[in-house]
Amino acid sequence: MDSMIELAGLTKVFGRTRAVDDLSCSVEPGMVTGFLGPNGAGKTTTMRLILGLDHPTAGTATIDGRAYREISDPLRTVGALLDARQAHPNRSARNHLRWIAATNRIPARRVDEVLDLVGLMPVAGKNAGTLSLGMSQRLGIAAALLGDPPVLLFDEPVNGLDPEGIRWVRTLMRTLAGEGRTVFVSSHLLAEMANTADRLVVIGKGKLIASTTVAEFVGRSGAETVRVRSPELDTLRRVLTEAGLTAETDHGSALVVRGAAIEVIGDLAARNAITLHELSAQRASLEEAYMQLTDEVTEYRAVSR
Amino acid sequence: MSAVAVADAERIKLSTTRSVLWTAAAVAVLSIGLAALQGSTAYGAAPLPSEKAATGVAVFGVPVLMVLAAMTVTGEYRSSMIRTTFMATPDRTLVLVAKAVVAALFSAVYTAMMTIAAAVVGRLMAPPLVGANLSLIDPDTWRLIGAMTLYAALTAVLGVGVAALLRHSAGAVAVLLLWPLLVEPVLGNLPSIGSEVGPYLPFANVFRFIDVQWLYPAYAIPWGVVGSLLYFATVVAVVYAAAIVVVNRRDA
Repeated sequence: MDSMIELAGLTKVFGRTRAVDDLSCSVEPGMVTGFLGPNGAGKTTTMRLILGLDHPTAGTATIDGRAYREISDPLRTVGALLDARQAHPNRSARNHLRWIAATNRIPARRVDEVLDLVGLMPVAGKNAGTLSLGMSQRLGIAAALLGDPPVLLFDEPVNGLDPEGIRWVRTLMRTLAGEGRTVFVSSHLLAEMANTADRLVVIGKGKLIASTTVAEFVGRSGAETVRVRSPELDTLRRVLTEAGLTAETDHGSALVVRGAAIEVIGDLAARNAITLHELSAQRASLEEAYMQLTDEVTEYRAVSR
Repeated sequence: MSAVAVADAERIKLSTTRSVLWTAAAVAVLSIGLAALQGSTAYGAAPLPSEKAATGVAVFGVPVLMVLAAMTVTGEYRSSMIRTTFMATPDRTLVLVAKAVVAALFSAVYTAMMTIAAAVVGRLMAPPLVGANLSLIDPDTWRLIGAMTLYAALTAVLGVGVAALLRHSAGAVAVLLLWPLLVEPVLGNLPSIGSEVGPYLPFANVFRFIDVQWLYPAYAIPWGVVGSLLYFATVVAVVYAAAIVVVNRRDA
């Protein structure tokens, strides 16, 4: 199964806004790739371009080498959840899935299979408009899974879900990736992606900021710090400063050293026979790393006066 | 064939919302009820022509079915379901063709049944002599049924086309109902230019073809009755083709 999503110079201009700006990256199978960016960064537009709903101004988005519009019975290759409320409010959940299945010649029994899979069997006969947001989200996911596709796109799948729903979506995405599928999930919430994604594609103002693993992304942001505690704090500070490192006092009894590997500080202390009570890497939270990288490209920022 | 699959999906859509069934039922009751009224209130010795009994179907029934055809498109835009449709079938021309075919078939078959029912009910309600022409063995009645069927199919395609161009229910309904029921009668009855633009009004032409009297004056139309049908069909084709071009270019 080689179901890579490839974006090459993908650009979409609305009037004077460059919603997606020369975006190039690839999304690989067998893992969950988080698609991160602040609100308005162009995540949804990118997904719509991949799905052939919008026409790109320039560049291409391909799945397995083909544009979405060239794929016959595309639901068997790509499943997508864009917006939870994307069904006719007066049509039952089962009938909604029935017509979708019919378009791509998906056997009708698959409808009940996916209803069962997402836990909507008890409300299958209810009109889509009467379902709660969480249930609508599940219906959208059921529609995405209908064709048993090797590629899945989810746009903000946990928006508005309760904790139980969030956990369910997270487990589902991990399972789908574990089956070897390509799973591309957008979110503006970093913390959520830290637990779910293997790789990250980060964008801001339509431009690519990073395409990397979660660990690398945190490291690259330069926010990695080391906390060190010692009864000989002043000596330690002097040694560190002589080694060209900047140390700040943290709550009186500890030092925080930025931009240095933990080994370097441990070795320095040993060579100078300084007793240490603590030596720990303070991994920057994903959130911090994200804020740092997207700070200059955030379109809408609250101005505090 | 994927075209068959897409048309089948459109059939499922049309048959799985209750509003369609309710609308269809209401249309039948009102259209045929009008025929019953016309039959029962007819008097004198002159027989009631079958096209009179079909006035309700032509003036009320078919326009509502045309709006229903439009709703199969605007309803999807309103609920964003159109994106699901285009994701399932990226060939948008195929989607619009499937919608037009299913709406036209539904309108045509339903209108044929309503027209037959109107003739039968009109005859039952009328005094014997008046109802003499409302007969299903009269070739004129069958000519009327055939003409009504064509009229219903074409207007359904027009409904899909206008709806795909405008996307909003309110706008599409306004255009589809105000045009034949208000704009054309007003234009046609304008003192100086009415007789000049009249022959080129699409609904005046199609009403001439089905031979049902409505608010349009009798224009001096330069072509024959079949020409009137072709003229209306051409207008429908132009609107529909424009819709296909626009929908393919537009971001969904």
